[in-house]
Amino acid sequence: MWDVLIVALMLLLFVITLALVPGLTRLMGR
Amino acid sequence: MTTMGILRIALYLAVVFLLVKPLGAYMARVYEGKRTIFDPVLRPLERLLYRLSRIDPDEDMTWQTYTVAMLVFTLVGMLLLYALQRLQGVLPFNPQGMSGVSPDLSLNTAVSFATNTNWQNYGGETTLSYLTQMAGLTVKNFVSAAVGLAIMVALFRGLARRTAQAIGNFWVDTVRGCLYILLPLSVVLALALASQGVVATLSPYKTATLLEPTSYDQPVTDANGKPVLDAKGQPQTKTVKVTEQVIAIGPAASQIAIKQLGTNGGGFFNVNSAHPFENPTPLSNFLEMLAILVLPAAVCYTFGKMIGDTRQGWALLAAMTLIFLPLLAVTEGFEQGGNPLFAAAGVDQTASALQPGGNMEGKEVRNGIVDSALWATATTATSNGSVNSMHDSYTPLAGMVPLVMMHLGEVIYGGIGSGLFDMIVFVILAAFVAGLMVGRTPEYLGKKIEAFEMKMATVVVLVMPTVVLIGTALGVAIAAGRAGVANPGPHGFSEILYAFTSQGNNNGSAFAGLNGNTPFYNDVGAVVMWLGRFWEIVPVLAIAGSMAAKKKVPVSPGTLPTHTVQFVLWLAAVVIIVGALSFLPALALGPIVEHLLLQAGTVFK
Repeated sequence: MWDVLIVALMLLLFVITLALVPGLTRLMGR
Repeated sequence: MTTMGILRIALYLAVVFLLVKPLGAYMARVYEGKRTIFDPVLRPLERLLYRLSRIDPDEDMTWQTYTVAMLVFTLVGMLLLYALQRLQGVLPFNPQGMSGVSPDLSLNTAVSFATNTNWQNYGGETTLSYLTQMAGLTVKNFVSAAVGLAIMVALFRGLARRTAQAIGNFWVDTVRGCLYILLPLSVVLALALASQGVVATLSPYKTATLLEPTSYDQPVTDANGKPVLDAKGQPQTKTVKVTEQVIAIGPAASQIAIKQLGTNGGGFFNVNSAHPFENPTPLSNFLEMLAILVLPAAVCYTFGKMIGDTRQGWALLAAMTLIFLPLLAVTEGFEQGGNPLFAAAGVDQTASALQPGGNMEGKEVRNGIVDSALWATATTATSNGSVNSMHDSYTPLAGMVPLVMMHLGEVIYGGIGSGLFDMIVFVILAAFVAGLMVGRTPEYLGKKIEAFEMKMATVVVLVMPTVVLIGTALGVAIAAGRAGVANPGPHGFSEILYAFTSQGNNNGSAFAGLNGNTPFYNDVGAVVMWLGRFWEIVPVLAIAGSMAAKKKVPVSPGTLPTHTVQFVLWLAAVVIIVGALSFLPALALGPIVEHLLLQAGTVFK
């Protein structure tokens, strides 16, 4: 149970960081 | 401080600075893909790695592709390290029969080593198997350091290239950093440390019979491991007689070499380089201290070489040194000055032929004041985090210096790669502000600094204080956070502030005095470490991509020179001002008020 939650937390940290890429690309304008 | 102490510091810095140019030039050759002396051995291995991994080494990546590759690589490594810790009880190379690490501690350690933090809420010799130490932590020591270097050279390329879309190949940069830089240096250092007595064995721990048996009071626990309380609510204890001592050993030398060179800092043993098997002699101490600073300083020259103007690299090194030396003097001065309450009690704290003098609490007698304070300053200036003394026992203002070093963003040499790319972000800030102040075009190395770069630079500078201060506020506000503190009063606050500062800056050094192995500190610390690392790296890579796409503006009378003494002074001022604005209030609540109270004779019990 804890393992599932912790792996989910690691994936969440990964996803919210990955989401910066398209966000910053739009901000950059290219 | 004694003359011998000053000479030792001078010798140390002289050796570091003498190595900057040859090592920096060598690293530039590595990242430019030029021939090196290791090519006959390592080039075939490098090609084999690319073939096995189906990597096209000629692919030039955009900043977006580079970032995604770096994040996916980190995630996979982190998950593997988590699994390795959880399963170590059923895996080989576990002669002490260590059981699987708890989920929250595994999380903290996996994130810690994936982010080059190497914060340790575990004791290596009491928690981890040899397999976890070797295949988990040591491997991450190499790759997380190589990733830091890769991000740094990607930024160099962004500044050096003109109207380009790409900033290099993440896989090639990481592989070359590991193979050509970290591996050869680690082999040499590991052998040198082993020659000094750093242990390197796969044998089980040894048991020795004590010449003088001793006894101590041990808390009585129930079936669930909780303390049994007496009628007054105090923990019951029983006297235990000790006749034998287990002596922990293991494959330490190889891990110590890369933990120092890769600015990782995670010790094989719990007390890190204060342990005689991890740092046994004055020579091993010197070599380990040298390894802390040499690569973060040398990359300044690499920067100059790769952008075609070595003056720029020297300017950055000068700005770093300008901040480092006064702060080193503060640590050395206050530690040598000793504890004012001891002086009032008539304790002799004067350095002499018979004693190092000063505040020796928490320090190895063999290291004395000078080498302990020098290590503490260097390890927090870089994002190394290894220790050879306990920072918790420093006098308040000397203990504040490691905090300040980290609060400045770890750009005073900084982590391997990460220190310099963060310093370049400060350069962008400084050039922008100075350009506006004196009416020059805000530009750096011929690239105009525009709104996007400034927004990204601001994000990079603000992420760290944000996660550190929010983490500290939680630690102070929540009972689970306060429960980990060993000392009352401002020192307890400093312990919480230090824990989150160290994790948010990916330093990893511990103040000591804080029980960090709790679900609160493990989980919140993991989030802080991740955000402190990657929410800085992604904007840095975006700056690299944005800069690479720009044209170069020719030098004109309107250009702000960034290699002059004035700019070096200005850059140092900007670093200090940003750090002070972010953290002075927190420092006032911790070490500053503790110092003032100590001078007045007030202590907290």
